[in-house]
Amino acid sequence: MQITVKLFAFFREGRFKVQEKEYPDGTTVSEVITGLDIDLEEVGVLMINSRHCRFDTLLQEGDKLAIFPVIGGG
Amino acid sequence: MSLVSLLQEKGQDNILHFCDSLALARQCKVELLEVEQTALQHNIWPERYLRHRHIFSAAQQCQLLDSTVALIGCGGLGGQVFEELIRLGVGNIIAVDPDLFTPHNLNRQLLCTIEELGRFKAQAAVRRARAINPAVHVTPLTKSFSSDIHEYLSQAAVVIDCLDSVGDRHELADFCRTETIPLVHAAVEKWFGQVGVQQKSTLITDLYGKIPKKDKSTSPSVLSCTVAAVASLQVAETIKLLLHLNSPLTDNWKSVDLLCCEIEEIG
Repeated sequence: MQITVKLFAFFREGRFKVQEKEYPDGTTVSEVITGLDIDLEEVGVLMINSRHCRFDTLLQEGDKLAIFPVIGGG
Repeated sequence: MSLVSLLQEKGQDNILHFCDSLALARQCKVELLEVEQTALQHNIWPERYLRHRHIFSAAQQCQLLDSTVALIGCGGLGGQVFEELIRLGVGNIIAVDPDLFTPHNLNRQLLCTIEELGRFKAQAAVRRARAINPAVHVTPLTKSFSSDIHEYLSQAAVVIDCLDSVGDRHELADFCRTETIPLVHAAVEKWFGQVGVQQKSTLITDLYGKIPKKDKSTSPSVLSCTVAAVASLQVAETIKLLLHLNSPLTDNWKSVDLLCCEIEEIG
């Protein structure tokens, strides 16, 4: 299935801003994240098609997954 | 002569010159803030706010002078937010920060000067206000955000989150929701930041999760330009809340990326 992955802030460093990628059916959000070599502890907000989702959410064909890091500095 | 008569005499062109504000405060034995508020009530603009005249009405400028906000954190974001608030004429600011300035604050913290090294950040805010806008009342609290400062914060019309710890942010957001005080949140790292307004939402939980993640052991790297850009968005939201102007950021947030020049609405 084809998924659009959107990365934000410093998750873009050395990766990409937006990429359409092919994943096998049954792929979870956390599998996409670890596949991008992103530490799950660093993840803040996760959204599929502009709605909040979880690490264990199953992706569907055509989903747009947005991954934001935790930003905490003041 | 009463303050109003003197103001009408001095402010004949609907402008109250700065030196006259100071002289009237001394002559009538009232605070500078009261002189400026009274002037604006009679549509006389204190000179320092002249360039607000086609943005705010005199009543709105007066409303800002009457307002109280609580600034939680006087470091990077907090220092920049403070600077903009005093220049805008927000009349009462509760400035909260337990820390002292150290040399690594010099890259981005506006209140940090070589002279201020080793001094409390919240106290530096008082000195900055005196230098820029002495009409503003600053209440410095050299304490962490915790229950013993809640009574001060309850007076605020808006609370501004310039903290650097996720745990404290959860506690502050819970307090603001309980007290029904709008919370203007922001956070920064490197070239990136986020800004949002919590009124009825669970913004901080949405951003950081229900269970606070462990704060990073190392402090994040941050640029002065990121701090200034994100803090300015925070101030704009604060002003809109104080003046009851609508904002698309209410119960929403935006991600800011200065490398890609993007401000992305999320909700």
